[in-house]
Amino acid sequence: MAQPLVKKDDDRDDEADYSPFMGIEKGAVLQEARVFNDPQLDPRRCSQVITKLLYLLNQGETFTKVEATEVFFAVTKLFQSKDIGLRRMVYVMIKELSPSADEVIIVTSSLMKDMTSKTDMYRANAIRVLCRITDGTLLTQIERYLKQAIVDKNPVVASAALVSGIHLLQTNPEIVKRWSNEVQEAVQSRAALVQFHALALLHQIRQNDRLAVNKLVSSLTKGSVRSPLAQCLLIRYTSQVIRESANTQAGDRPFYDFLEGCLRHKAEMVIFEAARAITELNGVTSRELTPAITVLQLFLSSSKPVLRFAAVRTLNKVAMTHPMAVTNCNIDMESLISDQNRSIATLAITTLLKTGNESSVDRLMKQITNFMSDIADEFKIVVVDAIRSLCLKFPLKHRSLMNFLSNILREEGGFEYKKAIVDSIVILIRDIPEAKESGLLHLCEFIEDCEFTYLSTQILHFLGIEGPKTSDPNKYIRYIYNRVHLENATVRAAAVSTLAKFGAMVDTLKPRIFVLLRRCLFDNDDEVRDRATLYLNTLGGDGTVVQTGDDVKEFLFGSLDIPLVNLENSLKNYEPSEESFDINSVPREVKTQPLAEKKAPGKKPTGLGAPPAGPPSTVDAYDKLLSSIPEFANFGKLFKSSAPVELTEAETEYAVNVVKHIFDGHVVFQYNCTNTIPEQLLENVIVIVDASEAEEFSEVASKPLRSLPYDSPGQTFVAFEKPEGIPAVGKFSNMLRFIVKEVDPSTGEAEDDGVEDEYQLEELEVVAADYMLKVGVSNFRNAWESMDADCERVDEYGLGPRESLAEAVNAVIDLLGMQPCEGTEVVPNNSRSHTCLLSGVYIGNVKVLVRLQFGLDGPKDVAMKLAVRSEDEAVSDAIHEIVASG
Amino acid sequence: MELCPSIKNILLLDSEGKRVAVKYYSDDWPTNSAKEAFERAVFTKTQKTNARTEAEITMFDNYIVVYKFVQDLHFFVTGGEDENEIILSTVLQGFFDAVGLLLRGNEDKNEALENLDLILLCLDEVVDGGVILETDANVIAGKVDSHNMDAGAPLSEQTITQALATAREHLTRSLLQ
Repeated sequence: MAQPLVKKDDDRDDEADYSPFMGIEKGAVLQEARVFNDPQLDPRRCSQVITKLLYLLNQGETFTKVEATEVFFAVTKLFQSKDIGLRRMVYVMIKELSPSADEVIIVTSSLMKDMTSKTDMYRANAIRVLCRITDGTLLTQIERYLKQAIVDKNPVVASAALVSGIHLLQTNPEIVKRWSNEVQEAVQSRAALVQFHALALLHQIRQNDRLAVNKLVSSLTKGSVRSPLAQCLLIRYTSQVIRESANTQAGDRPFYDFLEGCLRHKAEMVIFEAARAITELNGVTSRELTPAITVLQLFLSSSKPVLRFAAVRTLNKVAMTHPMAVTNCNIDMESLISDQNRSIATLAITTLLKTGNESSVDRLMKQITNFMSDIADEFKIVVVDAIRSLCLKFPLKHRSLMNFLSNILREEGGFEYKKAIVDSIVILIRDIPEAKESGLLHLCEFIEDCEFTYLSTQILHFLGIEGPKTSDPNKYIRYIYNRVHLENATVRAAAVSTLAKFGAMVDTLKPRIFVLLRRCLFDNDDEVRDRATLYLNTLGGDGTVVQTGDDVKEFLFGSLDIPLVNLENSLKNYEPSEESFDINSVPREVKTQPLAEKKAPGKKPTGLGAPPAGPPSTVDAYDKLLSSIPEFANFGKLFKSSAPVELTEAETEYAVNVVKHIFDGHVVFQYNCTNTIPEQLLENVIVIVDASEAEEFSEVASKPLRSLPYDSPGQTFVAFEKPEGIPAVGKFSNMLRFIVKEVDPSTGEAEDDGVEDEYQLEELEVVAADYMLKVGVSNFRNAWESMDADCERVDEYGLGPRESLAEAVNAVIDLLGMQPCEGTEVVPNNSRSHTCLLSGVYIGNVKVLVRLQFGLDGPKDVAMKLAVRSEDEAVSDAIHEIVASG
Repeated sequence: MELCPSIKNILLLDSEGKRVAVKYYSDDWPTNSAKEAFERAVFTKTQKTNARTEAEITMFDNYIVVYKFVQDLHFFVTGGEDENEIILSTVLQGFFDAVGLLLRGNEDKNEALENLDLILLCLDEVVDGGVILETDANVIAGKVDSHNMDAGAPLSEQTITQALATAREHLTRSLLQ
C-alpha cells in the first residue's frame, strides 16, 4: 500500500534526489542521541548521529536551551571512547553548541587531558576547542600548556595555539601579551603556516607600540620569512609603517626596496600584495609605480580569472589618481572587454574610460555599445557612472556621450539602472550648458514611454526648473501635457505643477498654459484638480497677461529649506488648535550622521534625489525640556543645541557632559551628570561656572539638581545672558559642587548627614561654530548663484603643515560648524587639491554658503582659498574672522 | 584595511543553491535568513558562469567571492572587499582539492552528503574563526581522514604517508582515464 505513495515519480528521479538525510527530523535525531549514553559505545553509530545533528544545525535548525544542554551532556559522555574519528566529531560538536560557562566546566578536565596527550592531533584540536569556549579564569590555569604548545615541534599544535591566541587577544589581552617570547620564537619556525600565525599574533600584541612594530618590520624585511602568507602580512605591516613614518622628504622612501623586491617573489599572492601596496602608497611617484604596474600588466593576460580580476581592479583604482601610469596597459585592457567574466570586463571598461584621452572616446563608445547588451544591470550602472565622469572631463565630447546615454535609456532595464542614467543626464545638463537642450529633449522622449512613476515625476520637476530657461520653452509643453492625458494621477499632478512653472516664468506662454490648466480642472483625481485650481488662482488665470509677482515665484520655485524629517516631526507633534501651524517654528538643524554610516569615498553625487534624510532630530526634545523650566521660558526661540561635550574622562567617579543651548540673547548650559559610585548619593548638585574668560557673558540663573542617585543620570542648568544677536565667544571653567551622602549598598538607604564636596570638571568653550546651524541645500550651484555676488568675500589662508588634506578639510568644517554639501567632505586618497562646499544658517537666520578650495603647497603645507556668500556682508566678514582667528 | 587576511564564509552548495555545508566566520549575517539570502544571491549571480577549470571571481555588496564548481557541487569563499583576491583563491583551492581527495574523486552532492562528517571536519581544518589555518589540500585531507591513522603515530609523518597515498591514487586515476 505504501509503495505507490512513495513512488510518485519515476525511479530515476528518486535516485537523483536521494540523500542520506532525506526526511530527517529534529525530534527523532534528538531521540537517537540517547545512544551516547549507552554503556557500550558504538563509535560509528555515534559519529553518524553527531553528523546528523551537525547537519541540522548547518541547515539553519536551532536547538532550544534545554535541547542544547541535553545534547551537550550526552556528547561529553563520548570522551570515554578512544575512537579518533568520533573524537574529532565531538570537538566540532562542542564548538557548534557554544556551551555556557557552567557547562564548560564539565568538559574542561577531558579537554585538558587531551591537551596534554601524546597524540598531536588531540593536542591541537583540544587547544582550539578549549580556547574557543573558555573564559578568562580558566585561561590562567591552562596558560602554561598553551605557551608550551606555541613552541611545540609539531606545526599543527603550534598553529592551533597561535590561532587561539589571536582569538583570545580580543577578550583577554593581558594574558596573551605575556606569551610574546614564545610567539617570537615561533616566528622563526620552519613551518610556513606557523610562521604566518606567529607573525599575525606578534603584530597584534604589539600593534599599539609603534616603535616595536617598526623594529619587527626592519628585522624581518631583511629576509627570514618563508611562508607566502607571512610575507603578505609583512608587506601589510611595512606599508603601515611607511604610512605612519609619513615624512616623505626628498630621497628614497624607507622600505620601498623591500616592497619592490617582493614583486619578484615566486608566489603570486605576494607579488600582488606588494604591487597593491605600492600603488596605495601616499603620494606615490610614477617612478615608484612603474615596476608595480608592470607586474600587474602581466597578470592581465593570465589564464586565471582571479589574477586578471585582481590586477584590473587595482589598476582601476590607480587610474583614478594616476591615469597616465596606466595607459601602458590600455591594449591589454581593451582585450579584456570581451572577457568571459563580466566583472573583469566592466572593470576594464571603466578603467579605459578613466585613462582614455579625448580622441579615443568615440572608438571606445563603439566598443561599449556592443558590450552593454550582455551585462547585468549593476555593471551597467558602473559603466554609466564612468561615462558621466568622462563627459565631465571632456565636455566637448558631450554630444556622443549624451547620445550614448539616451540610447541606453531607451533599451530595457530595471529601475536602478534607469535612475542612474537619468541622474547622469541631469548632472550633465547642470554642468555642461551646451548639453542642456539636447539633454532635456532626451528626458522628454524618455517620459513618453517611462514605466517608473518616480522617474517621471522627478523629470517633470526638473523640466519645470530648467525648461523655462531655454531658448524655446514652447517645445517642451507638448511632452508635458501629454502626461496629463496618458499617465496615472501622481504623474498627472506633477505635470500640472510643471505646466504652471512654465506659465509663471514665460509670459508669452501664459494664455496657452491657462487653457491647458483649465482642462485639468475636470480631472477625476482631486490632487490634480486642486493643483490646477491653486495655480490658476496664484498665476491670475483670469485671462489677463500679467507679470508674475516675485512672491508667487518664490512660492512656486522656492526650495523648502527645512529638513523633511524635522517638518514631519513638527507636524506630528502639532495639536489642532486655534493657532495655525507655523512653518517657521520647525527646527532647521540637520543632525550630522556619523561618518561611518556614509559610503566610502567615491560616493556618487546625487542627481535628482532629495538630500539624504537625517535621523529624527533631538532639537524638539531639548526645546520642550527648556521651555518647561520657568527660569528659561522667556528666552525666546531656541536657535541651536550643540552635541554633548564630555567634561570628564571616561570611567571617573562622576561622568558629566554638557550641551550648549544657544538663544538669541542667552546661552544655557545643560550639564548631564551621572553618578557612578553605588555607595554614594549626591544632593544639591550644581555646577559653579567661572566666566572670567568670557567677558560678554553674565550669569543670570541656575537650576540645581536636587538629588543624583547611583547610575540614574540627571541634569543641572546654568544660564548666561549675552549681547543680543552677537556671536559672543568665551571660555568657562566648571566646578561640580554637591553634598555627598554615604549609601549602605545592602539596604540602599542613605545616611542623614552629608558632606559638601567639589569635583573639578574640564573647561568648556563657546565657539563661533555654536552660532552656525547645519542646514544643507539640495543644489549648491543654484543656491550659490542665487546669492548676491556683492556679498561675496574671498581670501586666501595658509594652514601650515597638516597631516593630510583630508585632515585639513575636516578641521575647517569643524571650525565653521557647517553642513558639507554634495558629499564634498570626502577627500579622495592621494589627491593634491580639493574643493569643499558648505552651507549653514548663522545666528539671526542668515543663510551662508562657503566654497573652500584646498591645495597642497609643498609636501605638507596646505593652502586654502575661502569664498563666502551670505545674505548679509557683515556675516560674510564674520566667517572670515572665524577662520582667521581659528 | 584588516591587517590579517580574514575569511568571511565558506559555502558548499548544490546545483540548485541548496546548502550542503556552510560555515560563517563573520557577524555580517546575523540570522539564518540573512545567510540564506546571501547564499541565494551568490548562487544566482554565479550560476551561469563556467567555473570548472579555473576558479572564478566576482564582487558584490562589498564582498569578494571566489568560486569553483565540480559536478553538482558549488564551492565559494567570501572575503571583504579589501582582501587580497589571490589569498582567497588559495583558500578556495585548498578546500576544493581537499574535498576532492576525501571523496576520492567522486565529487558530487550524494557523495558529499554521504561523507558529510569529512566535509565538516575539512571546513574545521581550513579556517578557524576567520583565520586561515591551512591551505595545502594534502595536509588538510590528511588531518581529516584520520580513520586510517594509527593514533600513536606523530601527525607530521602521518601526513606525508597520507600525501603519498593520495598522490598514488591520483596518478592511477589519471592513467585510467
